[in-house]
Amino acid sequence: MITDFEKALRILTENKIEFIVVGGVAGTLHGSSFITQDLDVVYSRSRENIQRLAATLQLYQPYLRNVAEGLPFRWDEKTIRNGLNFTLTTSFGDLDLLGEVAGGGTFINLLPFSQEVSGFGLRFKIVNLEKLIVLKRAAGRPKDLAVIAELQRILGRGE
Amino acid sequence: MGYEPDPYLTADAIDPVLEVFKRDLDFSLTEKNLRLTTDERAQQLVNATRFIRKFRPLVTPENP
Repeated sequence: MITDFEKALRILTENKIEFIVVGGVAGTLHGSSFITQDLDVVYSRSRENIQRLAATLQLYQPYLRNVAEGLPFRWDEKTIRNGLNFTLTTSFGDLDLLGEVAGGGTFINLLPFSQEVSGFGLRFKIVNLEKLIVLKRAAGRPKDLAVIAELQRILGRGE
Repeated sequence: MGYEPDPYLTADAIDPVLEVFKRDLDFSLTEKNLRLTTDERAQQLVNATRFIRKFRPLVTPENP
């Protein structure tokens, strides 16, 4: 399912969730021509943010992606506190909620490497171009090689 | 134990595999994107995903 990015980001921002967009959407906003299908965000693990995240996403049928249907999965504060990274399906599409990311660490670690942007009629934080490349290199996925090559050329050109 | 960044993992480090990908990259579309604002890039993504959502169900094994 392709994520409704506009709706997903509106839900997160309007409910005052603290997050930084990483992954393909950040790449698009930096000028990449590759199209992504899901939204990846690094979220703050503060108590208040976990409470807001639990309450907000409960309304959108969150469930674990690529997992058999019908498992006793509950989306609440306890689940988020006991877990870290969640690959979810929701009624607005796929959402990867990352408490920590390879090459970048946590929300707090990534904050100095983020920038606020305007997009989808909203303002929110995305990881900066240099750090996005580092995250993709750290992930070590063959499917990212062409994207990294493009992002490096954008970096070399000076956005 | 807190997060420790890898000092050798940098954005501009040369990787021979990436250099091969760069050689074959068509950068013309990216050049166009770089002339847009972030709002316009976001709108482009919305348009592309709407297009995919609309037409993907029409592709079947009988009608690839």
